[in-house]
Amino acid sequence: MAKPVERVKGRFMRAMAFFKKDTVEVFRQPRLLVTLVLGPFLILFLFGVGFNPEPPVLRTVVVAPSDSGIAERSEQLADALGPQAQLVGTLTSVEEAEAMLASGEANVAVVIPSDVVETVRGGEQAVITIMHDQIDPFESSVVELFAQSAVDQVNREVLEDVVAAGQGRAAEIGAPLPVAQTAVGAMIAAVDANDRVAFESSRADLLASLDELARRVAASDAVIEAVGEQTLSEPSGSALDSALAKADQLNQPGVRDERAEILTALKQNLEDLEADIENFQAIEPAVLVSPFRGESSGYGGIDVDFTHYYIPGVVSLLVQHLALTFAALSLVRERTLGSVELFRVSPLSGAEALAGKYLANVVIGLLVGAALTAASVFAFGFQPEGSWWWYGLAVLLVVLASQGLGFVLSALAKTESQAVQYAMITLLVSIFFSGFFISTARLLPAVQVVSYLIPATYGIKALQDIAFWGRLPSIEIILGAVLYSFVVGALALAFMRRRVTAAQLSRKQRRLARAAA
Amino acid sequence: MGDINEGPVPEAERSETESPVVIDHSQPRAVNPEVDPIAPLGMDVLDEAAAFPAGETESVAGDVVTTIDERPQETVTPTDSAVWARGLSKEFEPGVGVFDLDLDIPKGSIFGFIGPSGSGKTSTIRLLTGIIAADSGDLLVLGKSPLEFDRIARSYLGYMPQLSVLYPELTLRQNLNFAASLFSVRWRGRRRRVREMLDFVDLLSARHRLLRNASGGMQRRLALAATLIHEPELLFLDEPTAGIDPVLRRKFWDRFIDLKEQGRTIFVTTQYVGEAAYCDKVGVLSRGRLIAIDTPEGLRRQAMGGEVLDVRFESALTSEQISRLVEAARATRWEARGPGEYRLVVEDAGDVAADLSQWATANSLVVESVEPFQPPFDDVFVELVTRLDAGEESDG
Repeated sequence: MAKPVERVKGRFMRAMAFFKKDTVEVFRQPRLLVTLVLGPFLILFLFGVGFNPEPPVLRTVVVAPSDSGIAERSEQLADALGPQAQLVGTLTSVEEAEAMLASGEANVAVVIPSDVVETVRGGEQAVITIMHDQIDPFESSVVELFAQSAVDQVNREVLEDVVAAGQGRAAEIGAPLPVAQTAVGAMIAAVDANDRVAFESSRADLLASLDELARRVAASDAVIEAVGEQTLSEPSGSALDSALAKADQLNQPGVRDERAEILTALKQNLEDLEADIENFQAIEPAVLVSPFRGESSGYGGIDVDFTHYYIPGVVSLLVQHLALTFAALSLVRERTLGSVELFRVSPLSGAEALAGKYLANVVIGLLVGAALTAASVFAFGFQPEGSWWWYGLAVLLVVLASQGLGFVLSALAKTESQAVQYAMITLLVSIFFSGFFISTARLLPAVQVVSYLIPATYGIKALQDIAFWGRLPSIEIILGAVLYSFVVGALALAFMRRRVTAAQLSRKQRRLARAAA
Repeated sequence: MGDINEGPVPEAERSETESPVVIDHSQPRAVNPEVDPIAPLGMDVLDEAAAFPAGETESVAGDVVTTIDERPQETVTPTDSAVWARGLSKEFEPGVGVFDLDLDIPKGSIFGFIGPSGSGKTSTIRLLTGIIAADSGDLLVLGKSPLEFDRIARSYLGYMPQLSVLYPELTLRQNLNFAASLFSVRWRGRRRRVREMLDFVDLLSARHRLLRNASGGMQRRLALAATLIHEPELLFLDEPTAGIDPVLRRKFWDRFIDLKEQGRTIFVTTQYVGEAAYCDKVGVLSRGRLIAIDTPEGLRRQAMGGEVLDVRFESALTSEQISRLVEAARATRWEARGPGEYRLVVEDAGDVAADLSQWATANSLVVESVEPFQPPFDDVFVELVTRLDAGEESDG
């Protein structure tokens, strides 16, 4: 038999011939490189640079009855809605607003009903109508969120007004308090002096001032209890009740020896009440109306910039597109050119040709991946949290899986233009199903199968793990990508053998022929 | 022969003449003819190549070109026939294909395959090289069925397809290097070998040119160089001279003859029927069937029904004199080409020429000249094909 070393040398030489040929061919076609890599990259780059994550500014008109008082406050209302709302007019007629929407002068009209007070008094909510000119479902949902936010804001404004009024009333409520405190002080002095007349006189003042205080509190109960009970640790109503109870206790027989103690407690109740009222007045109405607000932050302090988030996706997609297209084109070209005829007569095997082509595509794919990443680093300041080695390995897996798929697709393509079409369709499928724009988790489980038939899906997940979490990709992703590469590689090898190898007897037929000989 | 007058034409018989090529075993062979030790169908063992070490071959310039030795260590050689086929058929669609081919091409010979476009020449080459499998028939190429070719057997073959199959984006030199790698030509000495082949096809100065910028003729020349780069023992050349100038065509054929003299076998198809003259044996293919196979001279005889003689008399002959002339020359056909000028188809032109002089003197006629005529192969080819068509029509 032939010397094994010589046989290996021959195999190596033929594989390297394909490696060199395919590499040179690619770099001799700069326009192809530009079309396949730079073109999509520039499109995505422009998209990344030009995309504004903030919702668009909505030209807003407020439609309010002239006597509602809202018309005067519409500018204030628009400011409160945030930068998204740009007030372009305050109108009194819905027809005018509709005309502005139709002409494109306004995007949103906020229509305030005319009978707010009557409706609310009737126990129903008054309806603020939001009209808009958006047809894009996404933008419509943004407007709906905006509308909800606008209504919430109006409600808050109303509540804040009520609370501010309540705080103003709280000063009036507390007006009898100094009289009560003075009376308590005089009663304590009278007890010490054992002056019964002075004690009774002061007690009368105390009772009178506490009654007045109780009357005012009762009048403002809705505000004080609705707001105060949710915000103050000791409800002001409880301190007042306690003070009233102690004042009554002083009038009961048999408490003579306890009067000093009761008065001290009463004095404390009045001080608490005074502190509660002061606290209530000091708190901003906005805080009282909206005591909670939400703040979110990424776990582990991860805060991914909008542009950075898409970089793993762009790198995976473009590397996949390139490796897949070059692989498919390379095989189709051999076929259309007729080179396979020559291969079939030569000692070349399918495995040798495929090995050379794989190697060429790996080198080209890694170079392009490196160039794209470098561009991201310099243009956007992208810096992965994890290891660059793992990053490179993830790109390598994308290249291997993608070119295997490309070789398989080339089996279906009869011409180079068909191969390019298949590559473009794969790119389109990848944009929707690989997790590039929307997470694969938002797809139905049955449809997610499509996602895992796309090499970029593995690449995006792996690169996101490495770049943003700084951790290794999950074992499922790594094994999935490796398995995928093996399966498409095996299919590619079978296809390549069929193409490159001439008609042959099966092993069994050969054995039979030899036996016959 | 235009409006030829038919005489009693004897039935043409397929020549059984053996190839005149004598294999000179003292010449170096292209590649050491070691093949698979398990020779199919019990082929005999020859030992004439044992003097040449495996993986080495002598190039045109006398340099030794080495290929990586992937061949077996045992020495077993096939039969004397480089190609042997019986009843070989391949039908692509009803009535289209090649049918019942019988071939026996000795080693060290040039076999020309001519036929109109679409007659099945390329399909035959694809069958012989194992690119496609036959539907029926027996075939041995270098003693082995092409369906059993392994990489070792293929290393003995060279194939030049009809169309350029090399790479437009590579330079001429890179293309040649690629072909060299396909056939495992060692790195050592390869540069010299590549230069030598480029020089042979007059492309050395254009070696850095991209193939896509090369002319059609240059591409054919490069294809030939790529076919010869590993010095194959059996070459299949599919219209190698198509689209190249006559001077280079002549150079190609000189090279083919050199290769033949080195002991290599060449199976060549051509659209230039005149090139059949360079071949040791020629097969004429029409509609997938081999209608004639013979030496070039044998084909002429087959086509014309014998040898052709042009006779010119001092004056025009009467009808009676012409009848007696045809009888005296034992001509199977005759044609009047002008006043006193006659073209005769005879069995043996040499014998008849001598006899005619005596016959003229005896009949008081003056013969100005008697010359054998070599009909061009274009005419031979047209005659053969026309005759086949006429035969088929009468059968129909």
